[in-house]
Amino acid sequence: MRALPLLVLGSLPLVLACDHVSTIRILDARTSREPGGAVVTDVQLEAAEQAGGNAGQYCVSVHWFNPPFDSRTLERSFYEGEIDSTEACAADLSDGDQRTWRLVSKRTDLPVGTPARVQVHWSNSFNVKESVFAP
Amino acid sequence: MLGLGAMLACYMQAARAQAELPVLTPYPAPPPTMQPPDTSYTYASQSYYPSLGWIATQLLPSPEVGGGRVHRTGPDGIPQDSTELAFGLRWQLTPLVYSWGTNRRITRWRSFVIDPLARNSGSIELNTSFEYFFGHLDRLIVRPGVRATFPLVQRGEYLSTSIGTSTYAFNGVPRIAYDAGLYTMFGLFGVQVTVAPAHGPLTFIGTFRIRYF
Repeated sequence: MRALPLLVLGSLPLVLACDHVSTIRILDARTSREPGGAVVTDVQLEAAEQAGGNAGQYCVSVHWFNPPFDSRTLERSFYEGEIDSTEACAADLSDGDQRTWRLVSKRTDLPVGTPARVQVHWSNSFNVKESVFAP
Repeated sequence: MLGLGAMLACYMQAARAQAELPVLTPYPAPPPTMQPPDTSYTYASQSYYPSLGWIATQLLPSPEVGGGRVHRTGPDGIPQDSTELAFGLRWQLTPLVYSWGTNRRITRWRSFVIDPLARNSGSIELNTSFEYFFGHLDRLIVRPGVRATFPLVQRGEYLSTSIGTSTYAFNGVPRIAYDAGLYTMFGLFGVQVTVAPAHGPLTFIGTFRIRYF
């Protein structure tokens, strides 16, 4: 009978393994400006999926705002008042995969110092990176 | 009548002289009387406690190498696959052990301070390891788990083996890993292999385990 609690504890990791969890996080986001004036944002993503499989559909986007931008703004797919946004969607990341997306702004007149929010959206979750500005 | 009185006086004189003689010890002396040996069986449970020496030995890390497959896609969309390795250090803590290899009269439970005999003579334990990986992983991993140790040679003092499982979080996602080990010299030194089949960047870890109590 004393072995029963140990068996239960030992089975705990197996129970945890039944619910597959995935996440996509932003490792880095760097901005540069093209000769034509468009702002290029390179967003490096890394996926994690508990069972080692595909992390599923995701969308990565860059949203530009007139300053000042309140970083406490709730994450959404589209923001009221944004002055520009670029988005790319895919389902190509498996557990541990990294991908760098190059997102180019539509506008070529974004002033230097324009704040942006870089975000990745999958399932019902967001990961965001703040403190990104137009160069 | 006179003769009887003289005989009585003579007898009393002799008795007085005999009473005044020194008392001599017998020769040879009799052997000393010894108490019979105590044949009862007593025992006491060990009372290990975390001493400064124990803490110092627990701070000694076990070196390890971990790695796995890394798949990267650049801005140009060209994917690259590579296998990357990272050096790491592991510290271990054992909150609870149940040993079935120790004498049945003493407690089979140990906590934190684990004598090598208890662990290597056959035991199951709840343990937690803290490991830091450098390189492309660059993070601290806390790994609680369960491990069973079995004796192979000389009740595990010469050689013992273990199997176990553990869980940890990586990028906020819970993971499962399995490990197997081989230990020698009272479990002081050993080799441990940890495998996480479903975790690409950290599929395997090879640890040179150093463990003292």
